[in-house]
Amino acid sequence: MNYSPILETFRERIIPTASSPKFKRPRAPFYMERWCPWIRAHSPKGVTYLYLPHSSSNPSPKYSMELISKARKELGSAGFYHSILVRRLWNTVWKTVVKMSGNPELPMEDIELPEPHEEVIEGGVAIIAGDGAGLKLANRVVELTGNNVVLIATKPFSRLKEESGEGARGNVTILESVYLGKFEDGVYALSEEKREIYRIAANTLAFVTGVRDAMPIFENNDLPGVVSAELAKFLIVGHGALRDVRKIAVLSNDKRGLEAAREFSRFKETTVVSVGSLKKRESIDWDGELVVAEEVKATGYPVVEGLKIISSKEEELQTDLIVSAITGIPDIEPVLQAGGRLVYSKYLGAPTVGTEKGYVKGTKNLFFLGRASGTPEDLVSKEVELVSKVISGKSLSSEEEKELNNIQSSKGLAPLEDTIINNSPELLLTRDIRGMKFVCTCQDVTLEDVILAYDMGYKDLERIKRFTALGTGTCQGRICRISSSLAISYFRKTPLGSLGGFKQRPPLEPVELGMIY
Amino acid sequence: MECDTAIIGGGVVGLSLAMNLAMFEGRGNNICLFESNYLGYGSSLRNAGRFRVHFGDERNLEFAIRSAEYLEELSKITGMNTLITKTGYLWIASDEAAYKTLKSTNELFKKWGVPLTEIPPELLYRNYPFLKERKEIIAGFFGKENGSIHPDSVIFGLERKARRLGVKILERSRVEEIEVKEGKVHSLRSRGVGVSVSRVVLANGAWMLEFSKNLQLNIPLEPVRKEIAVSEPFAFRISPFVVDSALHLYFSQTLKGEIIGSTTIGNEPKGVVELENRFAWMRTYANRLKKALKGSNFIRIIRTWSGYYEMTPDRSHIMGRMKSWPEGLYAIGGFSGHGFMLGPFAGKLMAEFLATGKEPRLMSLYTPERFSKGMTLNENFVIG
Repeated sequence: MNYSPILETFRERIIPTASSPKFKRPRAPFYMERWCPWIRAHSPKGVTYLYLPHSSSNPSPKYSMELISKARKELGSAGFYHSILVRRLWNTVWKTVVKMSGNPELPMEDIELPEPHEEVIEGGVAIIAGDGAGLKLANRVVELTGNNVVLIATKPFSRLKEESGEGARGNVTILESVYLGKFEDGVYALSEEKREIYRIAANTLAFVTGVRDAMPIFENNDLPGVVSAELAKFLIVGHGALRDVRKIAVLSNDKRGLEAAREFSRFKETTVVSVGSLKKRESIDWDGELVVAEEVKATGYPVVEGLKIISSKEEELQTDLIVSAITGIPDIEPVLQAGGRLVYSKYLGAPTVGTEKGYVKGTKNLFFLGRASGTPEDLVSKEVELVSKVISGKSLSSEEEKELNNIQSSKGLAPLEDTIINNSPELLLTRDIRGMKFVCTCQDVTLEDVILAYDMGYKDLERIKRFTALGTGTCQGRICRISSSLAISYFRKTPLGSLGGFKQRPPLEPVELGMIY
Repeated sequence: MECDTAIIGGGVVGLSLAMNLAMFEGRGNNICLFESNYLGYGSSLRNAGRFRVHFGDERNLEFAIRSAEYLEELSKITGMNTLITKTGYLWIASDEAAYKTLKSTNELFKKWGVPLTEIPPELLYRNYPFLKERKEIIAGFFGKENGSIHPDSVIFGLERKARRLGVKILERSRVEEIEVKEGKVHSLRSRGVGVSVSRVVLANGAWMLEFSKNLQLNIPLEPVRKEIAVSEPFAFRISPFVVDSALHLYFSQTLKGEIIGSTTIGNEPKGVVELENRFAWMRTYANRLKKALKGSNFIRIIRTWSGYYEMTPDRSHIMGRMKSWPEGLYAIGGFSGHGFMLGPFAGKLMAEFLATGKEPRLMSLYTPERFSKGMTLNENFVIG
């Protein structure tokens, strides 16, 4: 079978290519993150094998038992399992059903590893930073208090330096690590490279987590060849990989996407597909190929060959790679797990965790700021400056109070109860629910499954999760929590508040048992 | 609002009771079920989703055999596929004490037609290649009558059937108070609204303690918080539920392929506490799983959570009422870690009792009066 270059690249470098659990179609990772389904390992310095190559299952052709496929499509996956057909046969067919999963084999092989070292890191303030603004915050707090500040860098520190444009002050303890979350017995992070476990003894936690690429919902959005802008940058710009890819289509709805497209255009033939609010051609600062789309469909199987563009008319675009640079999704999971509550940010056009002048609403020692909290990009630095004073226990002048209030109102936070998504969310590049449109790629839950479950009476995310298995995979809802609630609210005109959410539990990122025993 | 029967607690026990009572009475519109959070929130959706028939006390053994039969029928009764499968339990005897207990209790199991199969080590490693070889392992004992069942499907099924029969299910409705007048339950208050009732059944697991204290019911129940973890999914290979008493460990795979497991580290908090998780627990679990399962170094944990074992002094459940309680008040609970497997059947027995006034034989053994009368059971098969 002919697999795409991207699939080959992944196979050589990371072995993430597996087939999806229910449809058994080949699938490649969308994100370059540890929690992304099919990415088995990712360390800040590069990519390493986690599983021995033979234990990773090969991509297999699409499962094509007529009756089952038909029934599954008709009833949705959960409806299918509960149908009379399957219920009657269950006792005899369960082994076959279980075998149909596209999961990798058990590792089965042991390698003796040294025991990890556990260390207590003291600091009055700990900052969980996935964005350059986190480093800025750490520096400001050190400048104001002179005390030690712990910076848990959830991406390579060099990236944080690049993003913030500054280095770290002397009193900033930098832990390039995986943030595992707030447990009952402490806040924990982990360095896989150094085999070290950090227990962070801090009174104050500040989250500056940043945003990540949204996984858009459109036909065939899971095929190998559909990747996030970050991952595409990592592969093409960072590693000179994907030599065989000639044409790239970049889905974009803001200037960030155009910037990404400009970077790619140095290496590849790049077309911008502008979607969402970036529809007016004259407002787009891009000289190359450009198409405007209302909705899109990826074509080709098992690899992406093109993109069907649907606006006033339909047209086909040839491409080897589809890069999604649709507006970011806030990284709210760490804050939710620590005790934050969801609200809707009009600025982000997505749910985030509710804050009040930097504080996580309802708490006294948790802070959440930066783009993920809904702050417009141009105000982030100012917010960091002001909130660092609050964290350091300094009082704000009335002028500064006013500025902080302005930042607060520019986030446009509104209770979920009052919010119905009336306009199509930017990440929704389709107008109907049918088809292979994946909301949750860990568990193969399609848009149709989710809407069907809702129509069957499972009216909140907690129940939809339990009925469809949405959000129960490796990413624990990072990909689907926000997109599914936006989609349900849009298609069924129901307030986001009635959908609620589901509980985020530790560990926040998958943790290898060999790392903690 | 008026309810003839008010059930407090929307877990597997309360829902089964509500559904069965409505089935016995032919209608459910005089039954109200109050759940303080969402259905199944308490312990019903926090367990490993397993059932077994093998219990150490003969009375519990009979109860569990009947329970397993009932669980098998649930798909048909509720119309939801409960994804029930008889994947079995595998006890690993890795010390002399465990071996002796299993060997001697097996005589009892044989008597009831559910014998465990003893498997010598060589065969054990051949049949279950995922097990790590350990020289202290004496034998394995396999019980094929045990298996797994999907908690979500059970809860959804019971709920759907109960609603169809007219039962009023009120979610996010905590019962704040039960009012007693002249030694008889009279009404209760939920979300500030009074509801007159003629009988109340407490089926709210660990949270029963609050009423026990306020109404001086002296229910001998002590919740113990247990933690549990799942890994990312793998191909389905670990089909039995593996129990290792020496390591205080159990693990298995869900049908979806996640490795689910838990261990008891000895300092589990008691009472109604926050349902959080400890990193120290996760480390111990990793350590012990490493000793039992091949390649566990490379298995990644994606989620941990916790829930209660509601322990009673004889590690067996409570059904019925005590004479000293206000008239019309009943309790069902204290399943000591076996609520999901025994709860649906217990709910059915309780419903039969409430509908007919006659106490089924299997139920009468579990009266809460047994502790003061010295008629306790003796259960030593508690896992985890």
